[in-house]
Amino acid sequence: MLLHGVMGVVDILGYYNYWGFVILLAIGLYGALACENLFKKMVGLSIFQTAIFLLFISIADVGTFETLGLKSGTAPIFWEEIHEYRYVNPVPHVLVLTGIVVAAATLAVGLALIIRIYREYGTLNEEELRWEL
Amino acid sequence: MGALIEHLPVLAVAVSLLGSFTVVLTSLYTRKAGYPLSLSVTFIQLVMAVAILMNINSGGAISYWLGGWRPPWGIEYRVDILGAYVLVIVTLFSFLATVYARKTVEKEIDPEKQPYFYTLWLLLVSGMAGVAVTGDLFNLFVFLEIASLATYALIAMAGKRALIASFNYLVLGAVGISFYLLGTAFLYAATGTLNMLDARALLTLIYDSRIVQLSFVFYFIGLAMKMALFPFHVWQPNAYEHSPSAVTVIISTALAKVNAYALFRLIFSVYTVKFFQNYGTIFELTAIVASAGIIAGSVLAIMERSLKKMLAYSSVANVGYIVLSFTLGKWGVYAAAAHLLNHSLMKAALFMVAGGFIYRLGIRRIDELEGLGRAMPLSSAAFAMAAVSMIGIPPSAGFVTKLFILLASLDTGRFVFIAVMIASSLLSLVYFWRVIEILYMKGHRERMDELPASMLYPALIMGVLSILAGILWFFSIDILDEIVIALGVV
Repeated sequence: MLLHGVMGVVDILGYYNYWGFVILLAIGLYGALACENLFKKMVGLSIFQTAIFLLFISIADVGTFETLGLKSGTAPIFWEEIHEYRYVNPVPHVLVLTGIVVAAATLAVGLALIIRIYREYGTLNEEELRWEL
Repeated sequence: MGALIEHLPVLAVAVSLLGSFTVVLTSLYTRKAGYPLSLSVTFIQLVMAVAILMNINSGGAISYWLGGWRPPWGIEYRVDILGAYVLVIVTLFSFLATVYARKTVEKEIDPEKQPYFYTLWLLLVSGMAGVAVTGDLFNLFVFLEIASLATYALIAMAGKRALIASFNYLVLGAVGISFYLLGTAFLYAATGTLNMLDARALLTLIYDSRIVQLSFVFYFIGLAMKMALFPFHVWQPNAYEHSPSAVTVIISTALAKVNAYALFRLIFSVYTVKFFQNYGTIFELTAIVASAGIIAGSVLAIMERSLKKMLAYSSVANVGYIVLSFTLGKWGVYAAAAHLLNHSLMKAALFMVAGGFIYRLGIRRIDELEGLGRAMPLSSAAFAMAAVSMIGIPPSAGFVTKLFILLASLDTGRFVFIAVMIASSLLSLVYFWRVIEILYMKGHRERMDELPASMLYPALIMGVLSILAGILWFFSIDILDEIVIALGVV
């Protein structure tokens, strides 16, 4: 019984990257929507987007050749460990590369807006700015 | 000629992308090149879009492989009849908004920033055209983001309060688009493909998968945020109110429709109706959210005192119409496809005239419009025609949509949506009639100059078209027939 429980915990911990994704996603969403400071909103947004990139990278790891039933592969990224060939799907990495560029562009536009807003109103508090609209 | 047609989908996107960089380069020598370049580029795109629409035979599609890579691996641009139809809508309203933009931009934007305005403008157009032609889920994300980033900057160009409106839009828009990316990640995890056609085929085997169901929920939330479906609409009224007039016109007509089209495409071309037959609850929830949006948008519009914000809330209600139509079977597809064009026609005229009142008189509030019906008869007539059409008097554009929704509700036996539609029509009668009454029956003003021709005629043409849309649709109904057949809804 105890062993069973321990194995269950190990199983759950084995998905640590997915847990990281969920936790970062929640933190990021909370930051982007609930923080009152506009700068913190942008930070939250960045964390939110990064969580999604983490998910993409996690699903790229398709496992070993044995589990896939493959004998050989022509994928550009694979390396030899002691007993197995690890194979990593390159497509999600390409997507994440594009996604990072897009996220960086969003961050840049957002921060540029924050600078303009601060110059115009002298505050970055959302509540105070709401009265200006 | 046949060879050129195959390249048109990618050219329709590339032309405005190139145009936008050309505007930056020419700005080193002259500030005057932005407008003529934008006008000619959007006109060329419109011609290309019409050429594509004319050359797609029923059921067929133009497929373009970027870089020559075969579709499931490479990126595919795939234009079927629905894509071509949306591309025509996007390019048509981009062109009209560009015509309209000239005078308002001269007045509202700093002279030294005007070239950059047109740079971003063409970038926005290219992003929207890209969404219409692409056959790849991730590529669609990139194009949506190109269009959105250009929009944030364009809205902020009005300065002052537009900065806050733009920032709010940026946060919610970026969260929405990230949800779209999340949906793509889940769909990719389940199917291992990003090509829409390929995903459609692979999904048929795994409709039961939780991952697939969740991916649709993420897609829906993301796109609902982008197209300002009720409860996610909070950014939209302020963004429409404070942005430069020309930007309001283009984002309320073309950009809003592009986001709705993305959901349209996902529901009918990727997940397909079969998926939703297995999971009726998803469609039920969608219909309830959309109906709530129709009613809530109309009620909020009644309570609003600013003209542009009132029109923005009316857009919230109309996005509800489009999303509700998705859930109503075959006739619902007729309604949704027709409303993509109908709503653009009406909102173009309304926002063009609303922007015109700001341009000429600086009037933003509804109760300040007194007597303008006599003072500026042609501009007010354009507004009144579109307003009557929004209410849904035959044979106007609004009537066509409502007729299709009526047929859809009868066909699927869900009569509650007829009640929703009638309630919303009555509410829109209240808020549009209030504006018409103030325009024509209250106060008195001396006759004054009409809007400049470049602002007046686009608005008038859209106003007349939105009144006559019922007759025009009667003769061009076969486009809708072909869309329904191409999507395989029957």
